[in-house]
Amino acid sequence: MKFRKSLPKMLIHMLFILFSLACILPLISIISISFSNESDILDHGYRLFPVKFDFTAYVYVLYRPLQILNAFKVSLFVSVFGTIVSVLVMAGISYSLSRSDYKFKNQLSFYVFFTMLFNGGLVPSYILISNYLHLKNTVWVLILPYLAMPWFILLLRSFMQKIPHSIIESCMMDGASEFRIFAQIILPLAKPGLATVALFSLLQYWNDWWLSLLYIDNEKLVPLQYMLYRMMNNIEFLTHSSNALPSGVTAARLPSESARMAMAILAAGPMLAVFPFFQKHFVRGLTVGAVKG
Amino acid sequence: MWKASRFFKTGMMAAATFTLFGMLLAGCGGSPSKEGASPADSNNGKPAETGTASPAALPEVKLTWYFVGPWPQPEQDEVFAEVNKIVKEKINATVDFKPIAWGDYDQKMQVVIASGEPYDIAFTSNWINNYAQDVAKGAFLPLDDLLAKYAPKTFASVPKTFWDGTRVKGKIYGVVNQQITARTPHLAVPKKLAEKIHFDINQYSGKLNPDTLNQLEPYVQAGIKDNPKRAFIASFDGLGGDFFNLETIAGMHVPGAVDYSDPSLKVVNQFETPQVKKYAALIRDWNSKGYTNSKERIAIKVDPKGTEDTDGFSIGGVFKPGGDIQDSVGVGYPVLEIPTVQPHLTTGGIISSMQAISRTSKNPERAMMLLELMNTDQELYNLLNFGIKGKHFDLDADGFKVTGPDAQGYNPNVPWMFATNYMAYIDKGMPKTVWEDTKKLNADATPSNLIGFSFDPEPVKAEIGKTSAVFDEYSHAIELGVSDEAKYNEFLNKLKAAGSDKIIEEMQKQIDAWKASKK
Amino acid sequence: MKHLQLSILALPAFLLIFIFSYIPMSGIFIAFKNINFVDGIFHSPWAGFDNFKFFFTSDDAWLVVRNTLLYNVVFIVVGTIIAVLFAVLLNEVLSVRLLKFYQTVFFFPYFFSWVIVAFMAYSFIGPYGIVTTFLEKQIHTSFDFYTTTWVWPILLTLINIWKGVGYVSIIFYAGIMGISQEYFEAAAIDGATKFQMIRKITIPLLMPLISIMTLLSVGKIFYSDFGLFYFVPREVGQLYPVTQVIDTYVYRALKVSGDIGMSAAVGLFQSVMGFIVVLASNYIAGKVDEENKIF
Repeated sequence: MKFRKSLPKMLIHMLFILFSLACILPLISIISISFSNESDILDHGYRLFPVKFDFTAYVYVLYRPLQILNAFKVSLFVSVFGTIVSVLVMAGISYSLSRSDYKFKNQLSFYVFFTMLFNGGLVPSYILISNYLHLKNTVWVLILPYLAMPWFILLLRSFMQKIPHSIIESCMMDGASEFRIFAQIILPLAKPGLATVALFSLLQYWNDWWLSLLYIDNEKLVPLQYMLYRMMNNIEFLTHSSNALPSGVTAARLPSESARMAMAILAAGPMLAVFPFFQKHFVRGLTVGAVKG
Repeated sequence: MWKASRFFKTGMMAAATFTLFGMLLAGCGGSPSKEGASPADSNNGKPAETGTASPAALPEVKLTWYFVGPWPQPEQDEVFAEVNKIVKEKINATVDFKPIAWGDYDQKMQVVIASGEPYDIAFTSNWINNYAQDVAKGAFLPLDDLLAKYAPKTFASVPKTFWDGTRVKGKIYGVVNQQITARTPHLAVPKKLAEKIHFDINQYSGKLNPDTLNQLEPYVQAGIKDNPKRAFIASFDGLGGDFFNLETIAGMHVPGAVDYSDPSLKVVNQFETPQVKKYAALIRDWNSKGYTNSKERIAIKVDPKGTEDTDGFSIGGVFKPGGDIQDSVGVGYPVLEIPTVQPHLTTGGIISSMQAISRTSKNPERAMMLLELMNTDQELYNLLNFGIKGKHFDLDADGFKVTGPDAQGYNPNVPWMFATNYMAYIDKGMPKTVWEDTKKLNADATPSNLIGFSFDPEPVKAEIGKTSAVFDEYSHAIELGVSDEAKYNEFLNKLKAAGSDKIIEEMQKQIDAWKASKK
Repeated sequence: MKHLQLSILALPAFLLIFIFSYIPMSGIFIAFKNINFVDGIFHSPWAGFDNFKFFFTSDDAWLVVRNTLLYNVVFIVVGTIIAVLFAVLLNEVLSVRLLKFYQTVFFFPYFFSWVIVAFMAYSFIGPYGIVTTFLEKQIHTSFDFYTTTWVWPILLTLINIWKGVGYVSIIFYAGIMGISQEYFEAAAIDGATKFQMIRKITIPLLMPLISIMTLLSVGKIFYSDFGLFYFVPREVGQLYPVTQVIDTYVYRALKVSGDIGMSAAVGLFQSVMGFIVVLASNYIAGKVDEENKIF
């Protein structure tokens, strides 16, 4: 009896441990590359542990620590501020969309969804943002375009749809306005959904380099991911057209493989630590039943 | 069913709204490009100022300059501020420098140009921010008058053939940055290896081609013997047409080339020529003998930097006087280099580095004055290139350039990009005569019959796209000698299916028309 | 009153979407234009359907469309099943510490861009990679991953799921968290087994979420994750027959000319096809349960 009960449990853990390994090993492998000497990689192939530890890559990447620190500050501000505002903005529309008795529910859902499929492309957006909104080289250009993400809105809506209509109705009987219901009932009840979307939104902001590539020329406003992207993209470009380039710009001047991995680890590191913070909002008990009782 | 029609209605409404706003945008969006379209007026409005006009007479302006390189440099703001001090004093302008990183430049310039954003100067070439295409789409101003009026010294210092090379439909659109123009790929080999296997590199100088390349076989084999990673490295892009005695019309990856020795200017598909086929067969043989290390290199589009012990023979790059010394510094060990073939002067070599003035520029005459200043003021040019003297670089007692105490603070290392390279301080270790040697090499090169012809890709852009995709799929395996003959023929057939014949036909048509117009 | 208040709540997002999505959407007509910079993008001459010819007359069009669709169908089906499975099983992990550990670790792959993932893969299955070396030394077989065509559909699927499962399973996990405990308590009193509860309670209640996630992916079925198909196979030409998808093909074909008209044309095709497929799926989803629909 006991065995029958614990066998499935063991299988679950075995599956998860195996998958955990699959997630951790590649990470270890690139950490190992970042601490390896280029010639050791050439001689000994890739390894999970460096033949001998070598910090050149980090010395190279952190040569100007102020630059990285500043990029980190930009990333942090954009991610935190952007996430807070965007969750509020998206929760508002998601709530309205989740109400089956809302008159414009279908039209508005379509309005949101349509933008997921069709977009006017790069050039019109660029003209709008730089020539009309004059947002180029401001920190806002890194925040505003991602405040209302259709994908997240529709996701959040599905979470909110699960809140029983009876709760909302009973509040309305008490004469509460929609704003009060939204702030005092919906937001607390939708916590797992909000936490999910907040986490995704944070990652979206943290990982983005596209907006800075287009709209930021000012080094002081360059976020961390763009620094990484620029480094990778330069390598990709130089290596592809190294033969078309005027002589003297040789691949030899590129950052080493180790330096690239070091940069990747520095750019991803802070987010690796952020997950547990969100996790406490996924806890059991914040369910409809609990509140009702 | 009524529901479906409601979606449709919403969709229509959305469509109507954005069309409306599109029109709104269009109304405004059109105007800036129109404004910039008539720079001639602004010229006529003012008395003809020349580069020598006193700065006080000029109203103050701001110029925006986009260029490429290994940016950002940690202390670039400091250097740019110094540059601006001089520029302000000489032509009463401030430059808003827009240094863009290598990998971002193409994309950035595409949106900047397409959006009609005002800017003044941009770096352009045949390998990044494509000159022919930008000119074909009307991105730049014709410079003939501006050059004569505001940059007479620069205009006079560049040979006439070079200006002819930049002409599109008879007009100049780019200011040539003089440097090595007669481009030939070089053969490079680590000095240590050459000494060990008794390889006398100089006897092959200018004499390597698909027919003679097999003479290197014993040496390549000797190199491979003590390190199997010491592969023979060469790619189609690196060999270019030159190695095959061909002038490619739109680059090696687009079918269409003319043999240098063919005065009738008949366009052929380079991959169908006997010399390219012969080369492919040789490499196939070399691969079977293990000379190309193909097993490892197939998944590496670009070979990583090696060491003195893992690098072997390679063909690519551009041969230039002093290039071996520069490259030795770059790779970190002594390298020997020779030109593979006799140099030719081609349009591609001439337009490989230029500055152009934008159609949207509000001050094209001042932009030209800035280019004249960059091309004539040695101190300014070297400041922008190498940073602050005594800090980022230094001059030794003999006047050679050596690294400064803070070399890492500013070292973009792109002297061929800003203006004429001949003004650069000479690196320690290079011959004092390096620029004279370069000029001589350019002057002695055989001019191609096609100088002054520029190909307009617009009519066959779809075919060029499709053949590029085919080239991308097959080229690396052919370069490594992995593809057998059947695979090579499959490549040719796919090129045909993708429209190579149509491209060649169009090229021939344009060349014939150009030839006729010249008479 | 109710509608007005709800509309006010929706207003900020409505405006943001209007500004950043609908206004630039006017650029869709670029697909029908022959762009030049003298006239500017809005006044350039019309090109009719010329820009569409490039893609549809190419030999590879059918192949890359097929690849795109097949990969996406596999990714949607297998990816969703695995993500739901993970979420359900994570819910069975009672130790809070272990749960935190698993969820955090499963998220690791998501943090690295495809370029880095390509490096990770190469450090395992490249010629000097950990797996390749292991195969050679321990099993004495030499296996060349980067030239073996048949392994790539499997590899790309595995890598794609590996990278995304932590992310997607969070959504389903949060969905399970939102299910009222009362259902499970009632079922437990009736003597239901764990497996029955999952089948009869968890999965049905997750259905709207699964459905919307699937619908959202279906809309993008003609698009593919560029980085996965471009960087991970390291651009090895021999692998193109199984790794080339619409986005990589267009990128490779147009990187030389950078023609915005032709790339806009392919983009429009991808969107319109996705739109048609999603309308159909939305209709079918709505037949099953009104809750499952997007709009």
